[in-house]
Amino acid sequence: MIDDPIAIAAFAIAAMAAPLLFATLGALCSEYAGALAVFMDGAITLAGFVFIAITAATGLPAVGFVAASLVVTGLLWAVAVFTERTGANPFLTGLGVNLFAAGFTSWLSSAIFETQGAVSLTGKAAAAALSFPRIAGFPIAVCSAIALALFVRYAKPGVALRIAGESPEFLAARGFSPPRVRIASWCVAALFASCAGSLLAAGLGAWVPSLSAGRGWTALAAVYLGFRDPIGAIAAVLLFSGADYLTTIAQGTGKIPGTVILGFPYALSLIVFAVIPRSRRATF
Amino acid sequence: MRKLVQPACAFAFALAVIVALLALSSESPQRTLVAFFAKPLSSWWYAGNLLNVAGLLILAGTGSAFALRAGAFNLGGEAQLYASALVAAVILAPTGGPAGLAAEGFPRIAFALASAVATGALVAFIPGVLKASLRVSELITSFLLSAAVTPVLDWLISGPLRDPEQNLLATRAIDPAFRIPPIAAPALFNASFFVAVGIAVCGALFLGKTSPGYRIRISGTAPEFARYSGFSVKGATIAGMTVSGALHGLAGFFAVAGTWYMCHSGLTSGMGWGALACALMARANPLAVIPAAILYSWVETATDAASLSARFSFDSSALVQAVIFLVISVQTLGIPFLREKRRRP
Amino acid sequence: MKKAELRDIRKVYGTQSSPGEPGGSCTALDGVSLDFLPGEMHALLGENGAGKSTLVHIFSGLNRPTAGCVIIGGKEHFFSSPRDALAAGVAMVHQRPLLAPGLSALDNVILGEGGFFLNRRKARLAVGRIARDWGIKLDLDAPVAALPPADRLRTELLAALYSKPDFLVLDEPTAVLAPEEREAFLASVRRACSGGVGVILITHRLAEAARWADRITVLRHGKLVYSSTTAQGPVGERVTEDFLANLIDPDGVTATVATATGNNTADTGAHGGGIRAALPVFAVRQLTSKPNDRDGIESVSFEAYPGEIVGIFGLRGSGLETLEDVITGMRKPQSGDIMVGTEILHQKSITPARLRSRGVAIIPSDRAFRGAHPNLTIRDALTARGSGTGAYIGRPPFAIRASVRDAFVLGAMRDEGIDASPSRRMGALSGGQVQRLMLARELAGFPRVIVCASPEWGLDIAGVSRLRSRLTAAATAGCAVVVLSDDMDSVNDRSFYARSLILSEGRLP
Repeated sequence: MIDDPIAIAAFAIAAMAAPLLFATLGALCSEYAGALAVFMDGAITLAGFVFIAITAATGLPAVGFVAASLVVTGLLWAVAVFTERTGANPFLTGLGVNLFAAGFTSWLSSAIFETQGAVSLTGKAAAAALSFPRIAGFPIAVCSAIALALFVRYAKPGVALRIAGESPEFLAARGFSPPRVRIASWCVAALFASCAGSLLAAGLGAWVPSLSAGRGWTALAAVYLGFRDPIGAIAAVLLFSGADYLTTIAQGTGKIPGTVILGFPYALSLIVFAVIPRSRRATF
Repeated sequence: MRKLVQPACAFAFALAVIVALLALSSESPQRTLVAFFAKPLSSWWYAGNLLNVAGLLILAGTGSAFALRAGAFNLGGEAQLYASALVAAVILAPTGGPAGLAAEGFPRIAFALASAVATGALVAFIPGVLKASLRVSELITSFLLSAAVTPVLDWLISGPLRDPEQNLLATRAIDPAFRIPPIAAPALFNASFFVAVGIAVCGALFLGKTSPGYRIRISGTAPEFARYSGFSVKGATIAGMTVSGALHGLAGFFAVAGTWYMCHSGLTSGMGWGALACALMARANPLAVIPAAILYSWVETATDAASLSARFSFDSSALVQAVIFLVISVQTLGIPFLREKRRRP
Repeated sequence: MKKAELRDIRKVYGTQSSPGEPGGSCTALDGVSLDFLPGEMHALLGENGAGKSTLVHIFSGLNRPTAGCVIIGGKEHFFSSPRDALAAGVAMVHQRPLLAPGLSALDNVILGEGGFFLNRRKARLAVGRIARDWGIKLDLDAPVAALPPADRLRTELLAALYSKPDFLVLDEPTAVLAPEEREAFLASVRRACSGGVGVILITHRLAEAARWADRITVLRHGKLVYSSTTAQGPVGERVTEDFLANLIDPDGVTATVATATGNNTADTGAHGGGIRAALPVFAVRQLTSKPNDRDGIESVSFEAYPGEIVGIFGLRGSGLETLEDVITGMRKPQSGDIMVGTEILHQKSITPARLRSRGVAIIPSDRAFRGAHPNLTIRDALTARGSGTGAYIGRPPFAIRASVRDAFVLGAMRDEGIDASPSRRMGALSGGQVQRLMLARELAGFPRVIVCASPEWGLDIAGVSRLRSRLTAAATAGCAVVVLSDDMDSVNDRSFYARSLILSEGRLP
């Protein structure tokens, strides 16, 4: 057993950072394509719900994860196609996804599990889910970040993604289809959101309506704090998770009320957006 | 008539989705649907409360519409309503409340009203000023500020400002002397509805018939033209957001003084988004907010009645709002949400 | 070796009808037939609007002809996009290169070729070779956002060459090059021609064309008026600049950059028949503004006197747009100030509101989105009567006196012959109608100064004459009129402009 408080802290921060890093990578893809990923929060919560529901039904977390990915990616693909075809405002449709996720999971949870609160895994499913080591999420997330960094630098579609928001006419002239790139970016973001949501739900062994706890919005701030770069995102996420860890400790001492701490992710993101100039160039 | 197509579609789809979900999750869909369509207008209790809530939505919705016309998106309505409601509840608590105010009667009500309005205005002013001076998008900042402030308000209600004699997460009930009486029992429908309608009308008149209203409107629809004409687009943004917050604050005041008579945790939850949905359906026209709010309130009331009958409840408001947002987002309402891309000659 | 033939190319643009104006059509190209041979440098000349750009855009796939076809190597082609043309061997370098500022120059050159992975190492060698052959010096790893306009041209040139085209179209390439670089550039173009590439060069510089081109074609009003063939021998012997200038514009006095730069301040004959007033009412002093994304201005100063019409002329790339933005208050200069009447507006204080309250009326070049807005009703667009105070304030305070406003709006619409309801959106009107309403609105406040930018753009002859008579009337009534224009043909038109100044590369000599 490890007693060293720094090692404990490091493990805890890494475990907390994994879902946020996934979410940040997803938000980054959408940001590259020129749209702020406001749907992240809702996507994470919806993914977590599907994960729990399917895992409870099949007893296999892997199947639960696949199902969550399919559902969330399918939803975001449909909304992205709708947004492109109708020329809708992506911010509004993204907000619509958040609201939809909240309402739909509420209805499903009432209909299937007869509760609007937490939905817990039991028995075999719970054991299977909890057997996934929480700490394993972080290395996987870091590998994803590295993979994304390589992709947007060395692969043709990756480079196209990286400039899709800034130079759509240039891409069109070179044979790419900017609408397709944008739709693809939302699908990839959805995939990352599913990773985040499944990881969070697996860690709890349950789904709660506030599963994402504002992480979707912190992810947006982390995108800019990390200089719009996947490797930078790792650093930004560790920073946020470190702050998160400190507030958890502070909460333990009873000095700061737990309810107030719920607002910290949003406050932190607000400060980042207000203070960092490059975030102000974000397109809405 | 073409202008009505989109809002009508939005409303119709939202209605269809809710009805479908209710029918699916009920053991006897027929009874549930009857409850949905028939109950809300069947008795004064339902109808009056429907109109009462509609009044609050009209006020907040006019605020959202005003911001939209000024070219700004107020996504912080939740906290603006909540904070003002809390402020009003605290000030109107029976004498000997936390502020220890001894004043009675009208000055106290006026003070509570002014404070509520100022609170809402302040919460919206901050994102407005950030946009005008630092060019940070008010969509993000107003939402984040609201999300950050709401837990603090929750904590205040469950802790320092909590009613010590009750077991609820709520402030003390306000002094009976300050309660706005219902016009006809048993519904809570009171004079605030007429105030709301009056303000919506004033809002429409201001935007359409006055010079400052004109400048605000043009700044929202055509910012470059406005700047070229010598109007202050930044001023319009700040004014739009601040007035929007102020009206949300007024709605918060009436929520406490006219409907709930105290402020409990999550009192105005969902109303901020509902007001925005009404404003979007109304295409940001304050006059149209009146029927939009009544329709929206009708759906909420109907869902409540149906949920009761089916013994099944869920967060239907979010779904209604989601559908409305998705359908309305298709056009830009003539307000530059999207960056204009055009070539110079 | 493939030959490219353009057979009987016609391009007709239809214009939408608007209230009071039936739709019409505009013929940009009227049956032009032309050959491009491999290994030759072919200069394409003509004034603005002659059809040169339209022709090469059709050849390079950016535009589609209404009639006629492009035959390359004996095969007919119907390009639906520039990529089709590229596949057929036609590449174009635009005056305003379309590049991705977020990528390096190398990435800009090679993006678009096949494969999943970008093999930068191999590409770098290939691109380096091309750069050497052409004498192009470019830092391939520099982010394009940091490159000056000349290097952006070079980047797009490399991108075009990378596709190994048979035909290369260059649109005013020397416009962004320093005088000493032009020789070397054209020499390398010549060398490439001897390697088999057919180059089509669009230029305003008659001297360049006469000196370097193997063949010259002149277009006027969409028709081909002259085309030398190689049978006539090297062009330099037979064709002189005057010969070409006469072909391009036989009627009026042609203003080419060569003649214009030597003719900066024309005689300052008073306009309007009187003696020019002693004191300027609008003076611009040492304005400097260097924006990132376009050409800037440096230490620009000029004055405008009551009763005269001053023309400031500049081609694209001269900084005319920036000058417009600065003197209308839409962009703050880095230094300098503007004097209106006796008041001085210092650098940071130059705003549209202040200019307007001092009696300056503004007709912007962007009449669709700055002078008005397509989503505004006609009534709303005309109500902003340029005084910055909104409109028609009356009692009770702040209320708009609707009767006064409506009288003005309806009157203006009637005078300009626009038959529509005031609640109609501006987007339904034609460009000319928007222009006329804007003018009516700006003149209604009896301004001291009128600043117009490209006011004649897109107007037909009747529209231009109506515009000129209104501006002349305003000048006669004592107004100072400043016109910013890119129509170099009018530089010496003393019947309208009392004085002409030439803006060249950001400076006003």
